[in-house]
Amino acid sequence: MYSSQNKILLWLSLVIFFSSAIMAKPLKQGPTLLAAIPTQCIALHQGRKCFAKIKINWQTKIPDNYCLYQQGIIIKCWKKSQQAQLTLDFESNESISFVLKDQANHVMAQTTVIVGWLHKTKAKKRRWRLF
Amino acid sequence: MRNKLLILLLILFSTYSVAENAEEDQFQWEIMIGSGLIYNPSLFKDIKIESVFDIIEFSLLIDISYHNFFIHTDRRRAKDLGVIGYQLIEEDDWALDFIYKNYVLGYDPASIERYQDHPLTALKDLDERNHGAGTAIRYTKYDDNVLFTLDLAKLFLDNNNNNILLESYYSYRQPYRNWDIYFGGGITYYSADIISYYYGVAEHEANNDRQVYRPGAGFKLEFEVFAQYPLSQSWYLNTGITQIIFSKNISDSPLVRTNNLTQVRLGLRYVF
Repeated sequence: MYSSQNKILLWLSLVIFFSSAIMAKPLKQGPTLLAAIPTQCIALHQGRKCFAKIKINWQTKIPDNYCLYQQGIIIKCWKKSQQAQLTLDFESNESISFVLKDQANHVMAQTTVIVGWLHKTKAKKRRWRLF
Repeated sequence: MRNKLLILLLILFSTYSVAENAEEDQFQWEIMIGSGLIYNPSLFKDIKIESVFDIIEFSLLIDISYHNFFIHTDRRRAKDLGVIGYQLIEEDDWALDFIYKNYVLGYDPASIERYQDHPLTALKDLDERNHGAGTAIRYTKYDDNVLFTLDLAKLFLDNNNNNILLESYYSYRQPYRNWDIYFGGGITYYSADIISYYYGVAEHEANNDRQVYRPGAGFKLEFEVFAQYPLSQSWYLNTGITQIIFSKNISDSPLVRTNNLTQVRLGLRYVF
């Protein structure tokens, strides 16, 4: 016979066990994959442009006409393709999102390259940055 | 009389400075730790690079600013030079500070000898030389990529003499992609008393191998190229080469082995 306190503990244990199991399970991949490597670009000082060679990969389940957009501007389009790879010269002082759209202009996938900085001091005093 | 005038000037400049920057007063800080390899041969005779500890460098860099007080580490130099100071005037492109800084590294022949595997003939039984710390008035001129500093300093040495030093340094930053490349050069003038204190040989220190040496004023020229590259949001690479040339009054000392030194550094730093 379980006491009511033990029952609560048993339920809590079961809840925690199944929650962990669900969380540990890898997320099921969507039909379209868009990945940028590296995902971060780091510059020395806040506000400085960051430079990197970014490799972008995408793949879908259905061959179609697809275009890759950077901040709303087309970078490249592919006809009747299911996957592709390209290398970009990244140069920005803010995080940039890349979007893959089909020919009906539906967003198929999205990824972001985050721009970060080593020295993040927001100096009001101008010469703080100099020393 | 001179001291009273200096105090009066400091009070005047402080009042002016506080009034000008009252709206900007705030606490700012950044701390970094670092470690790396350094090739730094000694200027003095008989001191050799003998163990791995002679080529490993650890550093702690602290930048704190509160109202007009500051502690800064010179980020435009390959080596870590700390300064404690009080800002007297700050304008858009120039500043005047009252600072405290260690300008010359001291040395103690007795303790050096304990860490060397051979006798130090040239330095044996010499008195200890203390670090050359002192107060200075620093003029700084700057824009986005250029920094020029001029320090007029008085060092506190135990010789109680006229230990005046004038140090200038010009630094130009050239950003290249994610790199910051710094080109720098400077000249430091040392009064005769400073040169004598560090590189001279007093009567009681003279022996058969070491004549009495009382040099006049001297100077040091420095040229440097160093670079920084971010590896992550916390780590960066720091590397540089420094060439130092010493004037004849320093290189002619019986304690000194050369008139020029080359230092090379390569290390990592972590920004908190």
